[in-house]
Amino acid sequence: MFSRDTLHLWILAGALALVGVGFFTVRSLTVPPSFGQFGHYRGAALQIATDKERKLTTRGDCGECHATLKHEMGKSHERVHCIECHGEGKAHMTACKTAKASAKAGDALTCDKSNLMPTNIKDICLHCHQEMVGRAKKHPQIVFTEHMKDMDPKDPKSPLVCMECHSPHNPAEELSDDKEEDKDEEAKPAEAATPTAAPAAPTPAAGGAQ
Amino acid sequence: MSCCDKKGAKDTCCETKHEPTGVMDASESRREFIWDAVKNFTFGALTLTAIPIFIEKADAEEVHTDKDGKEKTGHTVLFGYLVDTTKCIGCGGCMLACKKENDVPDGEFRTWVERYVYYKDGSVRVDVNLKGSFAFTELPPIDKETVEKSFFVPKLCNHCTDTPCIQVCPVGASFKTKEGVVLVDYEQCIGCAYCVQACPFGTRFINTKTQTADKCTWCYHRIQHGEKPACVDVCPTGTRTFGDINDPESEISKTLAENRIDVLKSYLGTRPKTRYIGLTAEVV
Repeated sequence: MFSRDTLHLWILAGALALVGVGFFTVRSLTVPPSFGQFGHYRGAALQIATDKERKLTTRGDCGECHATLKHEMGKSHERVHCIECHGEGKAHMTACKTAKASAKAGDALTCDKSNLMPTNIKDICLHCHQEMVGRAKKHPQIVFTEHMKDMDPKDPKSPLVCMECHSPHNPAEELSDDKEEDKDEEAKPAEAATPTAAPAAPTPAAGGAQ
Repeated sequence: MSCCDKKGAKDTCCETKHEPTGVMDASESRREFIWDAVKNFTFGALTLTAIPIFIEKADAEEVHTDKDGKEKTGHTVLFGYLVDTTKCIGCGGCMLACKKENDVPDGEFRTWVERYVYYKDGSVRVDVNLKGSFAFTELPPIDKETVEKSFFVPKLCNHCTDTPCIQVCPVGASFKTKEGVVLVDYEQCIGCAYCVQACPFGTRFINTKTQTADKCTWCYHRIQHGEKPACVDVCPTGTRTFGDINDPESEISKTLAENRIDVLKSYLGTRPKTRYIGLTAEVV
């Protein structure tokens, strides 16, 4: 039918066609479907990365209910995120959102408030305020034992000892108040005791207000 | 023109004239052969030049149709990250937040904090906080009197514009999104660790839980929903800033415009999008 040379050409063409079919078959089996959608990668990976679950509550999440508390934060601690002391708060937030959705108007909200109040306040404070080489001089730092020398705390061993003088939400202001109160020796313990209880109150109060 | 037309060529070539040679007429002259070669070469060269032009055109069109970029904001979003080392107090809150947010196994870090201590005798000591809490105070103590200056430098993925890590990935599992975020496709990654070797900043590692390459994503799952990365959100001193550097009104754009900005290892030409304030020559 064909001359010898033409036949060879047809054989070559057939072989090339086979290689081509083989290449595209293997390619379609091994290359993921969305590969190359946006570039040299799997387009679906973008969606997976976007849809990953968010774990930590953001400042915005807390502010949704605790907007007033946000404004009460003193200048020195306004950048400190709630979760630094109060923990991740995810359970609290989810519980509150569920309670809100099912609550009728006028009902007091009961949110899950477990594990929100830190027990080791002293460690949390020292986390940032422990004197350390490398920290800027303008950043307030203490060596705990030296700091306590001039103080007369009611319970020096207590992990909440810092809160006898400082309110965690507004430490600088509390400190200046205390300095004035120092003149009034008798008033000091009573006044100082108030902020100890105060930080426990805001969460229920602000949560219930909604 | 055939060779047989030439005088004296008759005897040597006319015998083969009518044999079916298939491809080339054996009687073709050298001049015709060269002319054909020139034509084919020109055609081939033009075709090869045209292909990349078409590919580039397709890429350019893609940018405009990217739904998370142009349509939402009126301009293409390009994320950037700024670390002001003069503000860092080395509390390690960012490291802990990152670990919790991204399920990073113990002993592995997407971001970490280094401390540079310059002694009065001229020597420099570099510490790395790999615990996130009181690790710096647990290290051998430093006599304050001998220290000239000292500061902290938070480190994370630089999200380079020209990325060595993406170039070396054999399976296309490392990629850069249109917003400039460098990500790993954990399903596609085969864990060969080639990218871990390629990264000049040491920010990639093999995640022992997933057995794939892992790295900072600037919390892509948060920034795509308008949130800040976990480390930026928790930083109590405002050391870390994140935002759209193509938006002149964003916080990061304003800070970048007002300050003297540096990047790590600029001589490598990777053009990092994580920028720094307050670096010294010793910080690499």
